[in-house]
This record gives sequence, C-alpha cells and structure tokens, in this order.
Amino acid sequence: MSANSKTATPHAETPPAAPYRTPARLRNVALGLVIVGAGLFAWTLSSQPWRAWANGLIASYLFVSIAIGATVLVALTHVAKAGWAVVLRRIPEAMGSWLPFGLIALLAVTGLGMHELYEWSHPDIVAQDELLQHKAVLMTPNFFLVRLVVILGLWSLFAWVLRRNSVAQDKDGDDRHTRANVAWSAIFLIVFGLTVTVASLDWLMSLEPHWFSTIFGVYQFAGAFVAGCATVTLAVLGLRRAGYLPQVTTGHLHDLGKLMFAFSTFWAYIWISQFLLIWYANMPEETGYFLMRREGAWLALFASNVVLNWLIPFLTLIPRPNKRSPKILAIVASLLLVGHWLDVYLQVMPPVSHFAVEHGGDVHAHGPFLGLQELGPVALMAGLFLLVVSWRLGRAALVPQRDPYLVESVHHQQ
Amino acid sequence: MSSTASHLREPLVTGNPTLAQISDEVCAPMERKPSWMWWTAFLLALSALIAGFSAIGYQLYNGVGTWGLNKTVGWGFDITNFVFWIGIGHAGTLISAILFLFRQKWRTSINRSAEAMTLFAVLCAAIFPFIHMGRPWFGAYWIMPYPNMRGPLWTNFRSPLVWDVFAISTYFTISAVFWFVGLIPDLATVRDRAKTALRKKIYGVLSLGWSGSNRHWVHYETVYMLLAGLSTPLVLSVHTIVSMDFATSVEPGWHTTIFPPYFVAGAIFSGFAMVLTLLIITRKVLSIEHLITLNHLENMAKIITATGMMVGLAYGTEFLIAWYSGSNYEGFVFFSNRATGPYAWAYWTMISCNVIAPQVFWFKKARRNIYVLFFFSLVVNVGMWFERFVIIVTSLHRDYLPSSWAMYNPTWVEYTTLLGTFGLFFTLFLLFTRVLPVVAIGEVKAVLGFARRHPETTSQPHAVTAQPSPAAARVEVAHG
Repeated sequence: MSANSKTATPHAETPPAAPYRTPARLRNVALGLVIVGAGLFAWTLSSQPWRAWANGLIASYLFVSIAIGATVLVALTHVAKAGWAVVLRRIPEAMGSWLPFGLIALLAVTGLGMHELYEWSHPDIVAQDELLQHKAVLMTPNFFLVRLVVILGLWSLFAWVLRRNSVAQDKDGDDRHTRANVAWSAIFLIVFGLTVTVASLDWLMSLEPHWFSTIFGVYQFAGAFVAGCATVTLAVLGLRRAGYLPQVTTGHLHDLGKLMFAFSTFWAYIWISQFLLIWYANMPEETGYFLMRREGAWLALFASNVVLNWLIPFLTLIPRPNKRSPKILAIVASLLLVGHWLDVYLQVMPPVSHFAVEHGGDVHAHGPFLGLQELGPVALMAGLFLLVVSWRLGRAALVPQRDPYLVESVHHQQ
Repeated sequence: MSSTASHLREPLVTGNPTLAQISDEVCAPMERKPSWMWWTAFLLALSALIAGFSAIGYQLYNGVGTWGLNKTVGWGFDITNFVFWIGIGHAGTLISAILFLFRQKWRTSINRSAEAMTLFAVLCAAIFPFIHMGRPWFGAYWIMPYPNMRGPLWTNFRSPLVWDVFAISTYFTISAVFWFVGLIPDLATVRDRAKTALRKKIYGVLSLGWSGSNRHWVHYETVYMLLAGLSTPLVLSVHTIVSMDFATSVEPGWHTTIFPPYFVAGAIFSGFAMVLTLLIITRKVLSIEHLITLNHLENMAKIITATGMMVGLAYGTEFLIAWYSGSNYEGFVFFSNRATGPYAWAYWTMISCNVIAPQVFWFKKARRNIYVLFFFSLVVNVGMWFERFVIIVTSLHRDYLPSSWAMYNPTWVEYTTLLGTFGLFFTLFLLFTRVLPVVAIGEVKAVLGFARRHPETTSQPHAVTAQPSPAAARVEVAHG
C-alpha cells in the first residue's frame, strides 16, 4: 500500500491512444503457425487418426478454455465492481470473441473424430455394457453435439453482449452500459456454472465413460480461469512492449500476478481434493482414473502437472518484486500455459490411447507421446486464436474510453 | 492507501461524521450503563446457556445413551451442530482476511463484530466433539501413545478427525491473534478515553503500549497484511477438513469429490447469514446505522445469493453424478432417501431455504429492506442447519443391510444442548458489545468521504490532492 497521496497521477480523461493494428510480424507468425499446424495435423490424420483427433480435442478445448476463462474474468470484474481492471479489460473481451470459432473447432473435432475419442459412441460396445446403456439417455452422438452447440453458443452470446456494451460506452459514456453489464455478468455466471458442469462431463469426463467425479466441473473451471489470466497477462505484457497500453502500471501487473498466484493455488486445491478423496476411499469405480495416469512413464507427466501448474508459480510469485517484474510474470504465465496444456493432455491422451490399443488395434499406442503430432493442432489453433483476437483488438479502442471506473483504474497504484 | 473513487461508488459511511464523532459513537456503548434491552437479551441468553450446560451435565453423568443415537445413526445432532457452528465461524475471517486482500473496503465497518462472532461460533462448535466422546476426561489419555499388547498405539494421523483437531485449533488461534492485532489501536483509543484508573490499567495492558506513532502503524500494517495472507488458506482449510470427515469414507452420500469446495461455499453462506442477523440488531440497538449502512447489508445479501447458488450447483451436481455413475447405492441415497423417503421433509426444507429463498435478493428492494434481510438471514441459517442434518442422517439411517435400518429421534437432551450453544453464542456476543469496540474505529476513519477523492465530482480536485486537510492527512499517515 502506498502511503504517498501526493504522487503525480495521470489524468482520468486519457486521450485516445493510437488504435491497435495487427503488426505484420505477428500476422506472419500466426499464418505460419496455421500452415505448419494444418500440415502436421493432416499428416497425423493419415498415419495415426486417433492421435490426430486426440490432439485436435486437446488443442480446441485448450483455446476454448482460455477464451471462457477470460470471459469469466470480465464478468467477475463487472459483478465485483473491480475498478482497477478497466484499462486492461479490452484484452479479455477480445479473447472472448474466440468462442464462436472455438465452437466450430470443437464441433468439427468431436463430430468427425467421435468414434476415435468416445467409447460410448459405438453402439456395439454399448450393447455389451450395462453401465453405458444406463447413460445412453444422455450420451448419444447427436444429443452430445446439440449440447455442445448450445453451451458454446450461450458462452459466445454472453461474451459478445459484454463486449458490445463495453464498446458502446466508448461512444456515449452512459453509465447505463455499466449497469447492464453487471446484470448480464451475473446471469452469465449462473449460466456458466451450470453449463461448465455439463460441458466438462461431456467433453472430457465421458472419455472414460465409467468414471465419475463430482468436482470435475470445478476442476475444469479452475484450469480455464488460470489459463485465461495467464493469457491476459502475456497479452498485456506484449502490448506494453509494443508501446501500447501506457496506462497499465506496475500496480496492474502486480494484480495480475496476484490473480495467477491465487488461482493457481485454487487449481491445486481442487486437484488435491479430487486426488486425495479418491486415493483415500480407494474404490475401484474411481481409482482407475489415477491408476491409468500413474503407470509407466505417465507418472513423470502426472507429477510435472502439479509442479508446473502450482509449485513453481506458487514459489515464484510469493515475493512482491516478482509480481511486479514483467520478465518474471511473462515466464510464469508461459509456464502456466504449458502446464494447462499438459493438464488437458493428461486428461485426454491416456483414455484415447488405451481405446486405440484395445479397439483400434494400434499396438504403438502405449505410453505418453510427445512429438510433432502433439504440436500440430496446438500450433494451428494458436495461430487462428492470435489472428482472431488481434483482429478484434483492433476493432475498438484498446482502453475503454469512458467507463465510469476508468478514473480508478488509471490512478491504480499499490 | 490514497484512493480515487468513481462517481458510481457510494460513500461507505453516511452522514459525514467527524473523526471524533466516530470514536464517541463506537465507544459510547462501552462507557454507559447497559440498557434494559441489553439486560433482557443477556438474561435470556444466559438462561439458555445454563439450560444447555445442565443438559450437558446430565448427559455426562448418565452417558451418551441419553441421546437419540443408535447403532445405525451414530452421528446425529452432535455432529450436525458441530458442522453448523464451524460453518458460522467462517464469515469472520473471510471478511477480515479475504476481503482485505481483495481490497473490499466495505469490510471495515463489519469485520470486528464478524471476527468476534467467528471465535464464539468456533467455541460452540468445539463443545460437540468433546461431549460426543462420552467420557471426555479420558481424551487426554487416549491421544498419548500408550503401551499395550500390540505395541505402543499412536493416534491415527491418517484419520481426518485428527486433522480436524489441528485445523480447527490452528484456525481458532490465528483468528484470535488476527482479531487481537486489529483491536490494538482501538484498545488504545479506549484506554485514552478511560475515566477510571482500573479501566485505564486494563485497556493499557491490552493495547500493548500503543502510541499511534508512524512506526507503530507501519509495523501494524505489515503484521495485519501477513496475518491476512496466513488466514486465507486457513479459512478454506477448516471446512475442507470438516468435509473430509465425511468424504474420505466409503459411505454413499458422504464420499463425493465436490465436498471440499462445496462445504467451504456453504460455510461462507451460513456465516454471512449469521453476520447479517447479528448486525441488523446490533446497528439498530447501538444506533450506528450510518457506520453499518444499508450498502453493507446489501453487499452481504449479494454474497449470500452467490454462495447460495454455489451450494445449489453442488446439490445439482451430486444428483447428476449419482444418476450418471449408474451406482445403485449412490442412486439409493439421493433419489430414495433424500428427495423422497422418510427424511424428504428435511431435504426439501434445505432446498427451499438454501436455494429458492435467497433468490429474493435479486431484487434491490429486498436487499435494502432490513425486515426482508433479517427474515431471510434466519431462513438461510435454518436451511444450512438442515443441510448438515440431511447429509449426516439420511446417509446413515438406511444402511447396506435393510435389517439395520433405523430412524433417528433426537431427545430433549440434544435439543437443550443445541439451545445451550445459542445461549453461549449470544452471551459472549452481548458481553463483547459491552467491553470492546464493535466497529474498527481506526479503519473506518480511513474510509470516510474526505479520505477518498472524487476528481470528477469534487469542484476542486487538485486542491484536495495537493493540500489534504489536516484530518485527511492524519488518516493517510495512519493508514499509509
């Protein structure tokens, strides 16, 4: 907390900064990622289709989770009336614009790769499995895809409304938009709570259709929110380096660091809650999930997950100076994103590869895989995500111009 | 912290009181004779306390057999009440620590009494595991490793019941320290106002020689921040461990992975409801409605709605997964024993009070009407008591073996013991309002109107920035 009330403070009425345009270099890198990624994906699809679809699911879910995490951040700043965050709000708002594209990506992957990914989509397997017959009311391919479209459609709609109201305020400066966004955010958070539970059951938990865990939706939310905060942090740091966002001070970076610190720990809390309770009760219906991820070389990745997503960020972000250093924040945010990828990978790859061994007859499907096949879809999605988000950033002022809380945000210091 | 506020922010304290007025108003209840209202409330609470402790004495003399427990339902009112009170004890440290870290300045008017409430609630909770031992005087003997035919027997550190002992005693200790540290500057204020030598002596010792110097404030702020950081994981840990008392078992209805965050959300929900109940009365009786304003009550109502819906989501998720799992035992507990079955009335009371009732707070008029707030704060507390009752009793009463199915009928001893804990809680809270400042005087002074700047609405914003008024400057120094 700063003691000095006489510090020179910038004016609330920030002059409109130079509008953001996607730099040519960023565009070229993104296009390169798209082309290389698409090529790798096509190559994997022809050699090991199940692996292409598994990585396709990982990559499309990864960026959907980042976009929805960022949208939840926007909604939370609205309902909590968090004044400090206004100057950087356009970035998560733009990231929310990825959701309709994520809808297409996830729909394509789960629709086309369904039989490689989801055991319950095979009528012959279901016919011999009493438990899967019980679940067949919910788990049919068409109903699954309808739910996916409805859920991502709702998320896209709310992200669009929140951004539209925010941008409309730039023109008329009416407080009405802020009030509307508080109400929309509150409704969105309820819809999100319900849909994220169903979405995580559908997209990820049903990869192992016999396994169940009630905390699973909370776990997916925790991962998505950390990833959203980490991506926002990286984008803020990148834009600052390119000379944009002069209003973002060390105080804002400090807060982003605190958010990553707190929610990385929240993720670890949910992780240990799920693991400890299943380990302790040791019931065969539940332990299979962890047994599969602890056999052979998977164990190393299983342990790295907690180290990357919690231990390193936790220890690094305890000291105050580290939360205020752009360099350290960038490293931690990047680690968290790699960690988030690993987290999703560990949820998708073991069951899909087991299924490929048992039903697909691919004898090479054992053990963790880390190759170009894994990079392809992630590069493809990352390239598209960068292009879309960067384009959306350029479509409105980079800082909300007339938000009633802007005055608090530009004076924010700690 | 120097702060610049948006024109949408409403003042945290209304009526523009001066610094001296705040000290006077908060200290007045401690410096005058108690009113007849206080005496009435105190005697009622004390009677309940005496009745409850008589029941405990009767139970200790005659044994746990005086309760309605049986072989099937081995946990009943005792553990329900324990979890209920521990849950109430969550709001105080949440308000003082987590809201502090989130820079929610509205916490300043309510944190003192909420923390006091926390400590009293944890004391009430601690009674139940203690008397549930039946012969608690053996407790000290049983926790020691003692020689026997199988070699020295140690406490089972793998048992979450043991973790509970550590979690709750740590939480109580740190909450008490946090509360006391926050009290020091105010205790010094009371000392400086004292008219009698004895009073000066007592508050002098308690305030640890506080002089209000800049050096003291700097140390104080650092300690306060560190304790807030330490308390935050503790708030979550307590109800997490309490939830594990159930969730580490293999009992359908108890063993479910969502329990830790779901219990924490439920604890905050019930804790805020209790803070609301107490503060609506306190602010009225002590005439401090401009310090604890309708905005404070409204914010608490919002938190109650949010956490109530988290709890509702957890209820729904449990049902969804109970069905999805295809497990007959899970389905039996949720569909046959909770939603229908002999305890359905308790289940639907819980749903009505915890999920449906708080929806009234979507309306601003309801959030700002103290009668509505008061009524629904009670409803939520009833609902949260029933939540624990439903979790514990409905999961136990129909065992795997139908021959051991049993109903649980609490006896007068259990009802009276529950009444006694309310007596203890209110007796302690009423004593608290007599001997300690119920509002954090020093902190509230820092959030007064003139300590905050409104550049867009103040006619001469730069004058305020450049030359703060002496009073504002003092606050800035004090809280910088």
